[in-house]
Amino acid sequence: MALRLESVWKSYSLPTPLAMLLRGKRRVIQALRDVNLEVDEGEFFVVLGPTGCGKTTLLNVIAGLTKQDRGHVFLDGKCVDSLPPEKRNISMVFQDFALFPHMTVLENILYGLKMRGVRGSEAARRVKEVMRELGLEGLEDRMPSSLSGGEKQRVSLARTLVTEPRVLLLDEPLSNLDPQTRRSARELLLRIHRNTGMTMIYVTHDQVDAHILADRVAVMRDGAIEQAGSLRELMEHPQSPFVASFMSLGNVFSGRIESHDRENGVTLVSVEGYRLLIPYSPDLQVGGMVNFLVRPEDVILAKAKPETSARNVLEATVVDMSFQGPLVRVFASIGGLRVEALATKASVEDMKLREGEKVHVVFKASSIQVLR
Amino acid sequence: MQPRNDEAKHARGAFPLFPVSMAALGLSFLIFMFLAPLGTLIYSSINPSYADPGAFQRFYSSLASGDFEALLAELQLYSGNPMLIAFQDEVLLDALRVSLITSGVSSMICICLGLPLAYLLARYDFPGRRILKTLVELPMVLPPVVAGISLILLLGPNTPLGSFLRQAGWELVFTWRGIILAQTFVASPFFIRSAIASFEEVPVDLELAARSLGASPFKVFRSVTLPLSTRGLAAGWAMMWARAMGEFGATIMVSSNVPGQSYTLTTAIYWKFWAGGIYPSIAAAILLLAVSSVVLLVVRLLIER
Ligand SMILES: Nc1ncnc2c1ncn2[C@@H]1O[C@H](COP(=O)(O)OP(=O)(O)OP(=O)(O)O)[C@@H](O)[C@H]1O
Ligand SMILES: [Mg+2]
Repeated sequence: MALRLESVWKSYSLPTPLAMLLRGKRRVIQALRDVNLEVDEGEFFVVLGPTGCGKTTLLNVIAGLTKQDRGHVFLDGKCVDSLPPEKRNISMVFQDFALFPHMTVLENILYGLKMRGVRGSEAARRVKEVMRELGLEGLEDRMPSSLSGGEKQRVSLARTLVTEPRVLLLDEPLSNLDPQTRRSARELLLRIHRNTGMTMIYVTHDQVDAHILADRVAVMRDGAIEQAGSLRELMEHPQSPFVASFMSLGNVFSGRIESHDRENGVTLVSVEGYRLLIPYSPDLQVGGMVNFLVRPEDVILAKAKPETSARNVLEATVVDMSFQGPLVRVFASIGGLRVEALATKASVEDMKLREGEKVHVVFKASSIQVLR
Repeated sequence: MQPRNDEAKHARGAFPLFPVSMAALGLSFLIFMFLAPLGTLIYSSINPSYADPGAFQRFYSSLASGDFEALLAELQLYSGNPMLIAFQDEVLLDALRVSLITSGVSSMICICLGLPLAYLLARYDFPGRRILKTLVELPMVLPPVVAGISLILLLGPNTPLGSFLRQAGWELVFTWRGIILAQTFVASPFFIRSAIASFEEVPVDLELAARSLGASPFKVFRSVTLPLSTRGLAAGWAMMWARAMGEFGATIMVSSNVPGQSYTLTTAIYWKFWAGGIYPSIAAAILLLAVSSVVLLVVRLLIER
């Protein structure tokens, strides 16, 4: 195991008005709450979370740029809490690149080598190799301010790669790039990861990054890790409504548990006044609340009302349709509920579905996934 | 009548009210606040009778009464350009030397000790930081005389610290060392303020990036923070030095006013004024003006290259 975080907490104190201080209160932001993380050797680990959830703070703690309040960071099994960042051999690519504006591209790339005491022909060889790999030849004498976004991004990547860090941290390195550059940068990152086998931790709010790059993913929310695992695990077994909606897995509903029907293996739930059947499970308490996921691909649309008891059938109005090749994403509303369904283009055309028209939304109880 | 659209207005060149009124206000301020007083000073150095209307009368009366010694003195006083007089006046040259040395030393002290203070106040958050930031600006609003009083109260010959220092042979007040202290006290805010601002302008991310690339805090400071704030530091240093050079109120209180020892150009202006009226002080004033503006200009040219 390359890196392990054990119960890491971090809070920031904000400037507090005097009146509050006098009452003995302080304004604090809990940026990390009890974060546990394990990253394997050579893994491309993606941390996914919305803005402000503590991703940058997490990387800063790993790199030693911020001291955690509680908890420990282990690198190769050794606790590095007391090591300053320059002794950790963990390099970071910053969100806004953080190139040194008073140095040329070459000086920027040489900086880490100089600081780590790599000189002479060894330094020259490594710089040459990295610059060729990242397509930076010819930019040696340029100043960072004269570079395009994509070039800056590659220089900042080169600057860290050349030091051959034990772990490479990437803080939303693609978020400042246009979509075209972003695509090629993703490929570049993948290639580098394959060639070097370096352990990389990549934080982002863009789930596309996770889909393309990740060996394993952790979803973060409000300073805590909600769920970690392979992308497939997260997609197939999301453990919280947040993970399901952040990964855009489909419709997340929340309802009150009304009664159990053990015989048919279903539980009756009321969602905004509508009654739905979900799979029975013994830990569902009547009267309590439950969240569950209905995937768009499991929702069937029908014009005529189907005759069946084991299914959830709701009469809805089509509000929006978005055509994506052979598939159509249909958004229908039932009172205050909104349901997203995935249908084939052929079936939508068969039903002559239009916006504003009535449609029956059908989904099996057995296709519903109960979330924590 | 045809409605005019904006484009037609621009094509015909509407009266540029905004730039012209800004220029008018700015220029009148420049003329009345700076050019007029300084211009008069320079003019009176060329035309003695402007600064000293009684000069010619005294000249004639000493001629009439046959007091040749007085006549010679008058003649000598007005026989040339005040700048030439200044450069021949041993006392003034000595004062210039003392001023240059003391202001040089106080600006060096300010760099060596004020720079770390500014970095501390710019980069680290600790309780009382805002109070400290205000405290270092205080000398800017304090009358320099008060600074002089405080230094005398702390280090004067009859105070505990002062008498101890005197026994150790390190008298501060009423020597040139006192002048350095006075200048540092009064002028350092100019440097520290500017240094804080330029350190705060260096993005923290750059320093963090340098740390994660293997640089120790000292190396980060030397290779990233310092080069990126050089301009602000140089500008602040120049302002601080010029202020020290022109420091008078505190200096006059802590200096012994023995020519050549603790006799700065500013005190020379003052003593010349008391001894011989306004005309003799003009030479010293012009000298101070010339030296300070040349240094400020050179620093500006270097910064805005
Ligand atoms: N130096 C700081 N002082 C006070 N609060 C801070 C500081 N740094 C971060 N925070 C707060 O901590 C929380 C987490 O910040 P962080 O920068 O780690 O989020 P993030 O996930 O990286 O966000 P983004 O995606 O926008 O970069 C935020 O609420 C932020 O306001
Ligand atoms: Mg961030």
